[in-house]
Amino acid sequence: MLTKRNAIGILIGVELVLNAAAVNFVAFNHYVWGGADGHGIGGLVFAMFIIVLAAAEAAIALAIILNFYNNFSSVDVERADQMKG
Amino acid sequence: MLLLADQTVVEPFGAVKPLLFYALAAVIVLSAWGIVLSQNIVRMAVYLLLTLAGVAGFYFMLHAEFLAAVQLIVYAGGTLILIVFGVMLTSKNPFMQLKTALWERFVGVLIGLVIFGLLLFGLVHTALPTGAAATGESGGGHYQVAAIGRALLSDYLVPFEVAAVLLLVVMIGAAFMARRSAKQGNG
Amino acid sequence: MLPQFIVSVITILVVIHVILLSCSYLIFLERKVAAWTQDRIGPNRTNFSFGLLPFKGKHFGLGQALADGIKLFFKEDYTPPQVDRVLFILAPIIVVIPALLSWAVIPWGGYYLFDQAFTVPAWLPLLGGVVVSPTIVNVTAAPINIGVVYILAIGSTAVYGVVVGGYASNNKYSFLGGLRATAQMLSYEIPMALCVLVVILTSHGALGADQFVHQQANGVWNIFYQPLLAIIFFACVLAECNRAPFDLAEAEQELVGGYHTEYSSMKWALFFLGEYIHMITGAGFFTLLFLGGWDLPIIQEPLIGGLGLVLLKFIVFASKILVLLFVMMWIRWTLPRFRFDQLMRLAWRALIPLALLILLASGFLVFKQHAKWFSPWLYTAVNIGAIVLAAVIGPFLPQGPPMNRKVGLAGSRFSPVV
Repeated sequence: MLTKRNAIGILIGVELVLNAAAVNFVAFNHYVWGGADGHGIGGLVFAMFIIVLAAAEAAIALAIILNFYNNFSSVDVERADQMKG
Repeated sequence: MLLLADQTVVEPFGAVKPLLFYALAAVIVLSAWGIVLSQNIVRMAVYLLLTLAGVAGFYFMLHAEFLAAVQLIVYAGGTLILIVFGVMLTSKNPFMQLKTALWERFVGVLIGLVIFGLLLFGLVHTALPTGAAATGESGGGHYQVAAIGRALLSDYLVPFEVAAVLLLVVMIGAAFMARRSAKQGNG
Repeated sequence: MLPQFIVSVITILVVIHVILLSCSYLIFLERKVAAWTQDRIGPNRTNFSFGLLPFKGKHFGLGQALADGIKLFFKEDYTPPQVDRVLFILAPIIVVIPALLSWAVIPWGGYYLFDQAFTVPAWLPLLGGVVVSPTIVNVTAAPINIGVVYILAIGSTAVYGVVVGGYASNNKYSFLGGLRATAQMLSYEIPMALCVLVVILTSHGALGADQFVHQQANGVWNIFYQPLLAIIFFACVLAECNRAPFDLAEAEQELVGGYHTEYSSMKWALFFLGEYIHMITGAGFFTLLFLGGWDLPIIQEPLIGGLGLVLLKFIVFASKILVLLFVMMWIRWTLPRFRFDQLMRLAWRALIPLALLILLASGFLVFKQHAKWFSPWLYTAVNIGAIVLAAVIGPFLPQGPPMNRKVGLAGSRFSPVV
């Protein structure tokens, strides 16, 4: 990988990206869609789904990483270069 | 009994709003830089906590208090704890570092710059509504929790149910995988 | 907006000082309660001169709190080698800050009525000369409209101090202690959130902290309608504060301490202070949800008034918190510590199913609340029914793996009978 070789580091990076997207959803909902006085809460609901999906994604990713760690004794993603466990 | 429904809705930030915005933005950006640049995985997790708290502060400032609370409960209280547990369970040396080569960093920065340029291009070339009418700041109202709940159970019912099923599947799957690895031992 | 700001600042200043100062006397109270429980006298000699001045007088040991603080200050602040220095210093701070933040939404004194317009004195910077029109404000630091959820949210970030502290110490025992404490706090957050959910549900969707007090005004306290839920919530509060009988994080006798093994002097004191602040926060939360906040049933009070009423409400609120703190100390010095597997089993196999059961039944009752047969005492019936159900079917539930099972006393040499 490019700047992180630690699998959990990559996961943390993904969380960062998801948060950036969620902030955009809420901010645009507020300033463009009309805010609480208008009618739109779509951005909020979308941000909430992002949070839920991030939780699900982190749980699955960590289960995979733990299995990976059990097989290779490392979380270095460069070591995951073969299909068999 | 006198219920002060309109008194409980108070604008928490007034004159200090821009100041607060820039302070929170500084926290978020600096800690995000910390995540990207740090090589210590535990530091990264702590920086992520700062970022999440700052984003929750943004939600507070955007009058989405419930979303801020959800962010703190689910993200900071659940997801990040999972990640920290993962960090702890997978590092033999607490201060483990996995370095990357220089050319990899160079490519990473390049890709980041390209994506940043694309986003900037998109932002500049989008016709955003301007003026006080479009900012939604006129009434200073708050997003009502009841409205969010109603939206989740009417307009967004299908995604809501799918998310519920997804969470159940994830829970079973994660438990299954963790259990199998526990049986295998430290293979 | 402006009057609220002024009152908020004053509230913050008063509450922070009153409570942080009383924290040191809580430690004194804790030592006294321990002494009473164990049939001792406890600290009763220390006066405020510490023997240095020719100053006689009985102070009932009240100088002990100050002496404890001075002792902690003058201890060596030792940082072990090869710790992660930044995180090591950060951890005690992360413990204290969330606990302090939770106080922001607790309605300490109800409402304050600015009954006539007044002008801010001109000598004040920024605000001098501004005229404040008559209005009603909350005596709260931040009267946001989701107060209770906010307390839960802030409380869920309290785990990080423990995790980071255990990790930064670079010590296996600290690390394991941190893991233990984290697992415990995460597990007990779930029944706690379920309890709050039930109370929100039965309070007609109230979310702001002061709305809960309105719901329970004039003695209609939730503890009468949800007794079992209150007990579950109280247990969760104890576990969240790492108090006995859930204090495995700091079991210094059997588990070589916990996440704070490597800490000394004021850093350790901050962990300790964090625990006490968490106790106050938890007691305040309990008061808010189940004991009616500032409500005192014998006074059919007007809800809004001047400074006297605010002070009265603050005193009532603080007294309820103090009673709960006394109960916490009483429990700590009476009950033995849980084993870790017992602690986990209590959360996952007792508290969570019971809270879910009550949530389900209460939801049904809320759905039917306009029916003719509805009465709030049905909630009480549901709670008692849950206790009975647990007692009846509990012994028939599948047991866990046969390890750490209690050995029967009868016939053994530890038997009290033989």
